Amino acid sequence: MSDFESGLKEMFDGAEFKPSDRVWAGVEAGLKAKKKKGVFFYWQTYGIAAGIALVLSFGFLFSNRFNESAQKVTTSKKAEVENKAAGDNKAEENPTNEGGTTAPIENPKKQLDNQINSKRQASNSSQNSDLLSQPMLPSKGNEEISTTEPTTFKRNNELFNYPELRVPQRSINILKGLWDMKHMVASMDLKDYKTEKFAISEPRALALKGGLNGGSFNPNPSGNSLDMFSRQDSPISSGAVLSSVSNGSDKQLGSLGFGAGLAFELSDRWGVNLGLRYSEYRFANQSNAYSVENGVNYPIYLPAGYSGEVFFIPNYDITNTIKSISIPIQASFKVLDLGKFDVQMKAGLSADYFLSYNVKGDLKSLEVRKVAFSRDGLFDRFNVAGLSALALNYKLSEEWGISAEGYYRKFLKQSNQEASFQSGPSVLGVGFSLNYFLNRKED
Amino acid sequence: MNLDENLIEQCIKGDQKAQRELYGRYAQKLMPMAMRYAKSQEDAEDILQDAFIKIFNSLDSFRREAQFLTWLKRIVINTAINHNRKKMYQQPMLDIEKVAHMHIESDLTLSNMHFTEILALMQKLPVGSRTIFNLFAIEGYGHKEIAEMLEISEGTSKSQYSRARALLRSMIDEANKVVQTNYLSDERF
Repeated sequence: MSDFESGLKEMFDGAEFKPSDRVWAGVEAGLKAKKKKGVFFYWQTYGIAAGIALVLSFGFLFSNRFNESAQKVTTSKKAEVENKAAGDNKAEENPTNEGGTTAPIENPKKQLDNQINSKRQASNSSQNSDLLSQPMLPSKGNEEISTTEPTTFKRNNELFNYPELRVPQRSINILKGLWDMKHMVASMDLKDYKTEKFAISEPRALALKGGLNGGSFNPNPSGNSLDMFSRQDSPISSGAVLSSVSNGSDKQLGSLGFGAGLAFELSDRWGVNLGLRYSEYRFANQSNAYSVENGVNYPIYLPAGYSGEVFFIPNYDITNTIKSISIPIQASFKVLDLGKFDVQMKAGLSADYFLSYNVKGDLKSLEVRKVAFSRDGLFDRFNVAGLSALALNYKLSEEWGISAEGYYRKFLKQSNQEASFQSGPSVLGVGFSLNYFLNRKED
Repeated sequence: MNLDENLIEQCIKGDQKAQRELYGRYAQKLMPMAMRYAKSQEDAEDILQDAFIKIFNSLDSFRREAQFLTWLKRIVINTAINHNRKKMYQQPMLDIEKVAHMHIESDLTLSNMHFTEILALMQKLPVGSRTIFNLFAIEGYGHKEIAEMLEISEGTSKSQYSRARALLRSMIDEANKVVQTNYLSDERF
């Protein structure tokens, strides 16, 4: 070591220089943050555990609801079909319709569409006929109903009532729901298609007694039964054939939302969020019939109502889509803080305004049914729902942030005195939003 | 138990008053060290702040047989190295074979300079060579240790040290000349 280095070393030995006050302020703040972090470690651990427990709990509740939901729309709406020439042997017997069943279609889905189209033509041609006096006469071929042997019209229900799939692990249903939401309705299993049975003309509007009303929405209510085809004034008196329009259990596909929000942080953990969100809520079902209304074929989902002529076909899938605008207001609690990322648990209320409700059948020949909100007080556009969420937030800047959240919406129950049931459906969904922070409270 | 040990015990328990006292006792001693590694006073204060947070958070790991001030200094050095590491990566140090020859007076004297003047000159050195110069010339680490600490080759450490030494001597020489010139011009009047 030369004199130069020794000189320098000597010069700095015992040297003192007073730092500015900001150094101690920074040290003090750093120690406090560390102390908080020490406590917060437990929040992280237990917060995550609580979040997972919460999500799983919802999953259990929901999958239970999904499976049991509901109350299958087995509207035992019996159609009393009578051969207008019962007892008189003038009508032709359908050679292919022995014992009430017919041979399977080789290319079912395509043929199903063809059949619908041919029915549509037949329906259009006879649209002005008096339906009450000429009920349910099939058109041609396989669709034709024997008038000599009324009992052969009985529907072979076992062909259409598929066993309900129940998944024992309920939590798997959540994942399945998310998968379904992505892929929407699964492809139809066409191998089980059988030919249609017959056509029924039904002009009544009783179908509007669905489960949608009273300011809340229930896609699949229990009190949903109506005798659509039971007509006391029917001239048909004997040799009746019974058939029913039925949907299966609703299969929740979930909800997807996008929006923007304002956030106000009350402390470094607590905050309040106000948002504006557009969302789509979808659920699937099946139907065994469609209706021809003003010459247009529509899928039938009983709670949504229908009118016109009804035709029975093998089960096909339907997707119900409700689009809405909602204003959620929620309290939030930060359970995990990772710098630019944080995880929040949220709970609050959401005021919803339904923009549209569509029922889409998985057949090309069917148009999308746009359900009228105002029709017979079917259901209100305005609804209130409880809303909870687990959100992952990313801080873009001091003012802006984006978030992705899994949410659970539970519409508040309201009694529907007319239909004697309560509806309060719930749904799991995924939402994305851009948030503006009115203030930030950092550690 | 001497005064420091008692103070350390209180600090470990989280006594804020004790922490403030310990800080007051050592901050001024450690600040010049932080300044040697920093490019400015503000930069040095950032290093010192981080170092004291580490000190208070790891006081319970301090072995009583060691000198407390030495332990504190080591933490400041490590904090400074970490602080400079990113900048050193941004300005990679090369193994310079030949340091540009600069004419430096052999009787270079430091006696008429204050350590703050030397600090000001040291802060002008490139971050890598400044760090190496401090570690070798003042802290007394060998080039092998420095190479391991900074994850560079021993040759790079040596050449960067030579570069820093030459630059610093040159700057001190220049500063001395200015002082002498001013002194002589003052004498004429």
